[in-house]
Amino acid sequence: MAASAAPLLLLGPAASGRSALLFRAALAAASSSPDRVLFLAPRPFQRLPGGGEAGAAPGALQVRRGLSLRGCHLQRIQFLYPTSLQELLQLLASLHDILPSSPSLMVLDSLEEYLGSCPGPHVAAQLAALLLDTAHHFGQKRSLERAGCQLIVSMKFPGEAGDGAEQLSAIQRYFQAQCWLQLETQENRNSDGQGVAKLVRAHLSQPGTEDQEWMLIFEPREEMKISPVPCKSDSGTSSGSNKPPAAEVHHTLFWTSSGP
Amino acid sequence: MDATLPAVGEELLREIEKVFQETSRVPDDLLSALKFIFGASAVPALDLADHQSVTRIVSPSGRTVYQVLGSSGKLYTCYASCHFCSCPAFAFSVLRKGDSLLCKHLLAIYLSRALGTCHELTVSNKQLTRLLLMDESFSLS
Repeated sequence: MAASAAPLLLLGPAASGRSALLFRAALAAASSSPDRVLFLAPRPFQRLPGGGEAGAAPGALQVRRGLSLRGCHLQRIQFLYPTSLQELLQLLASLHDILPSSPSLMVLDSLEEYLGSCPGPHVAAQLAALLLDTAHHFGQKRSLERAGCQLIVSMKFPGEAGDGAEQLSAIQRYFQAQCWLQLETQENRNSDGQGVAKLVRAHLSQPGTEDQEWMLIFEPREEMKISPVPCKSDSGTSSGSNKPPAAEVHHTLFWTSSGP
Repeated sequence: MDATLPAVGEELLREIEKVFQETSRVPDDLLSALKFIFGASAVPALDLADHQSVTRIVSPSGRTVYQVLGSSGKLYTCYASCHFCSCPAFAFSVLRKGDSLLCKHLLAIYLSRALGTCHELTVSNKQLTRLLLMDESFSLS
């Protein structure tokens, strides 16, 4: 099959920029390929994630900056809103029948909302497996042309115990690549002294590649910015010298205007 | 099945396929290796493969799924690209306890492909959707 980035699980606490990253990845994929991007979420965004100006439903998004460019790319993003676990499973199982062409990227936001009604880890695993199987199916169809179908799923990091931990464990076994978001405790004043900027550290790990980190910067009334964090020395492990950086594998997620 | 197995498992399945094509049997040393790597699932899985219990089902869209007829006569559904089976052993031994790599049905898929005993069946896209959902009220017959 065609080379395609490994399925990625994006984990982080509330308000850590998961939706903003997914939306950014969708825009990046839509801008780099004429093929559609599939964006699945429990409900429409109330405003643009990751900054910019508010709009209503994605079809009516209004942004001041880059309106024409984003609008063009947004048209390639197909938003679907399954409202329950059952609806999500049904949708994933029927996409092969109802989509006229294969997407280049499948994104699912807020997986935890679907798992709230999940009867146990077995069904959580089925959902993860069905997501992978669906992306794999589209990837195989696209491999005849040029590329695969990437899958990125975001999930709010659950509590430390109980069903949430079991469900997370069942899901993690299907995602080799995982990106953890961590809110930085320190908040900086904005340069003009108005408002505060939120900083989020993103740590991407995947077997066979070097771990990599980015800093996500959310400033008031500004779009999210991403800057790579210099690699730390590999203390404690001797691996890594011959591994490709994970950024090459998941450049879509951390695409920046100045390059990953 | 396009999921990833440990390299030693992949190697063993290739060896079984090669030897079986030449001799139409699985020699004892490879059977022992199969038991060593896959544990208690190995012999029942080989039995399922030998009894042609595995069917690869494909629809016009190209979407694929496997069904395995268990020893009890119950049909289990397995996804084609990653390890998931609808059987209770997968839920308990593989997912919950983590002491098995695969259930016997998933291993039977690998073995049936190595032994050339896998059936092929074409269904409609909508029928395949119902199979993917593991709808127990749904039957292809």
